[in-house]
Amino acid sequence: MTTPREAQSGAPASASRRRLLQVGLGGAALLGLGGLGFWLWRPHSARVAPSDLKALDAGAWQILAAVAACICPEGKGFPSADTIGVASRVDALLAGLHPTTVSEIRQLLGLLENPASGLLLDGRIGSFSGADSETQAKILAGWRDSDIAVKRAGFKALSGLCASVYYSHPDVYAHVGYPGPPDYGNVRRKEAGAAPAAPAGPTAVPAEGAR
Amino acid sequence: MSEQAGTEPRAPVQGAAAALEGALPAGISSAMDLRGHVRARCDVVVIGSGAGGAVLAAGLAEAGHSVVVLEEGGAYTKADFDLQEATAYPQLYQERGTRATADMAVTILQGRSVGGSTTVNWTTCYRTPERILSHWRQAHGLEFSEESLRPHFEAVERRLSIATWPEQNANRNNQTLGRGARKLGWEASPTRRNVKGCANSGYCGVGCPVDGKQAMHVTYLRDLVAAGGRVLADCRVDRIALTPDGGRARGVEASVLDRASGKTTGATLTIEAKVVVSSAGAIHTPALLIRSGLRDGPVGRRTFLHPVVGIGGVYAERIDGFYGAPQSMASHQYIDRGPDKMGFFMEAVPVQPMLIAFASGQFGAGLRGMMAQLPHLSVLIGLAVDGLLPGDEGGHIEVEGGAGDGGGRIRVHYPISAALRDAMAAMHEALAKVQLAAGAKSAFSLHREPVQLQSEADLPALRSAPYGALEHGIFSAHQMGGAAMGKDPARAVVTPSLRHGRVANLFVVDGSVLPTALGVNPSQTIYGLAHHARTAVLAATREAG
Ligand SMILES: Cc1cc2nc3c(=O)[nH]c(=O)nc-3n(C[C@H](O)[C@H](O)[C@H](O)COP(=O)(O)OP(=O)(O)OC[C@H]3O[C@@H](n4cnc5c(N)ncnc54)[C@H](O)[C@@H]3O)c2cc1C
Repeated sequence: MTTPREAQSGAPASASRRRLLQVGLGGAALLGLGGLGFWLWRPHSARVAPSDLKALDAGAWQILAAVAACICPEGKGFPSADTIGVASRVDALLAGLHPTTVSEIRQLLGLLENPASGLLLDGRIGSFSGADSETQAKILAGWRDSDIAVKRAGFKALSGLCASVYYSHPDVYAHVGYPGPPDYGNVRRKEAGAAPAAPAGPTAVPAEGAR
Repeated sequence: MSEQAGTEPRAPVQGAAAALEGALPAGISSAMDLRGHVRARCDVVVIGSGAGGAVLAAGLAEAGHSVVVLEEGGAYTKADFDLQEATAYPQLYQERGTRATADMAVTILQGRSVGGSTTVNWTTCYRTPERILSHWRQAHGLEFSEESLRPHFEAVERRLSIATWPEQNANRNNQTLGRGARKLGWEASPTRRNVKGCANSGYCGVGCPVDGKQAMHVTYLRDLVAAGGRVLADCRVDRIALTPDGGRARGVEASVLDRASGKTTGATLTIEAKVVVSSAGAIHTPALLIRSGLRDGPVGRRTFLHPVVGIGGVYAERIDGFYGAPQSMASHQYIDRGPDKMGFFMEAVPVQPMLIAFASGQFGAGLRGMMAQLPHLSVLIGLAVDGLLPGDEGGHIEVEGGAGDGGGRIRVHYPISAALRDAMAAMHEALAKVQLAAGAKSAFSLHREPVQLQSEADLPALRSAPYGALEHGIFSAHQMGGAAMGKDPARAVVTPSLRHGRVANLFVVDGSVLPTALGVNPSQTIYGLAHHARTAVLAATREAG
């Protein structure tokens, strides 16, 4: 069932190129391991999951929060992923996706966390959320560079979700030198409460565009 | 006709509304208030309110027909656009901004609201180039010429105020493209844009805050409504209903969606129509045809993406690429790389934090360090022209089995061919050269481990970097194909008039009819083809009595 085959992405440019195992059946079996993880292991986390989760359960949320802290670490003045609420915001986003996609994300988190799959796939002892931040970063980089497509794709999915949510938060704008969107006075946005302080506004704006 | 650009109200066509049975609200409204099972009848039902659907629907309503446009996304006005990426991508894009190919290799940006992708697109407009039309004549039996399409293009150019955006208005991110390309002796030109009273804000991709962008919801859909047509948002068509022999479309079956949760509310709609038009966009039109049992011809095959790669440049001076029209310069220097090579063109993107953080593929301190330079970053892209080389079949659309909310999931499969891999390497090199020639202190790729370049002496490192799926960021904002037009029914889903090959009162009017990618941004080609299709759809509507 888990015949490794060449990635859909076609033949490698050179014979030396490493092969990506396809997400097909092999991927499904791997994700199954992730599912198992939820039955056997509870995430090792001091974070308390909110009670109003929309897509994930508390365990998956805790793993995701650990991933988020690693993708978007605190420091150099940047707020922590926990302060920004990355895991809960990702949870809210996931709630709007196809249920199959949500369950794949849940399984992916289980696969990352599960010490059994960790031992099998990454040769490591212990869970993801229980590891120190340096080890966590190594594990994630290992997924990003893995020969197993489901891990590489999984890294892309999880890191993309966390980075998108973190860097689109107004509390992070000042740290990346983004003054935020200008206010054209057209928006009911003030009530939303998410607006940044009055931004500098675009530079070099012609008053009436081209015409 | 709608072509006279302007805002004068048009007299509603008498009788159009009378042909509607059932309780569909007038104008542009949400279906969320509907309860139970609603039945209605009209002359033409159009599935999707984007580039293709809007241009077609307006013309039909103005000709006196009762037209209902069903749109799965929400209906918004500029007052809803807070210009925050965190609001806009979940609100205005397919799969809340997370759409990708099944293997996660290609990130797919595609719109989902009243106005379709035009509500979020970056306003770059080109007529279909002659080299593409000539390829279509030779390889796909399509008789379009610059001359035959001219009246359609002129009409949409008037209505959408399409004109060249003066180069002096280009933001500094686009200026780097123009400056770098010309330093290298390469062609670079200002783009044409569909804008009127553009504030040069830079926020095209999150919903124009001043209605400067002449997107469908402020142009053709207004014409449609003025002529008595209706747009029903939050309403997803699940199936095209066919007669028992499968020879004719009877109408559509649709579900009402709760905008916040994306789930069905339980309310359903049946609309009977003389003519059914699928304008759900490339990806969703083929999926809808497959779900409706219309697997004729190459449906769902030959999906093209104009696959995009990017290169960043770090400048000593501020670029502020988050502000100013996102795409105002382009270079077509490498559009033709020879007979066995995939060509490409180069443009710019809005350098806004979410888009860039996501695109970089980095994480941790590396990502943070890159993001801290945001005001000094230029990000330029290359778009590969897929579907022209013999044997380039692009990708395909699959509808997974499964009941429940939303039915089976739609999957896009897009294998990276050797020719595309070669083009991606060439795009990286060309873009890096542009950044360095434009004066970047350094340039970097979007590889898993970014390749850093200080000068052209570092190009060998870029050349030897890996290219392909999940090696570096790959993106698509231009989905094309999946229900191609053509003469030969074995190789096409619709005729050159965009009529379905077998179901005589079914049309496909959107980007899915394109038999290849275009080598230019696709919106105007789709507007023009929709304008062209008005004649055939009108004839079919009259035929049906
Ligand atoms: C970020 C971005 C930037 C872009 N920039 C440019 C640019 O600068 N220049 C350019 O030329 N092109 C650009 N494009 C592409 C261009 O906007 C699209 O190619 C074009 O709008 C496609 O037209 P369409 O009619 O095929 O589909 P769309 O305009 O996408 O419309 C399809 C509509 O159908 C709806 N729909 C889908 N399925 C269903 C269903 N089952 N029931 C009801 N409704 C349904 C969708 O929600 C959508 O609103 C950009 C696209 C994006 C996403």
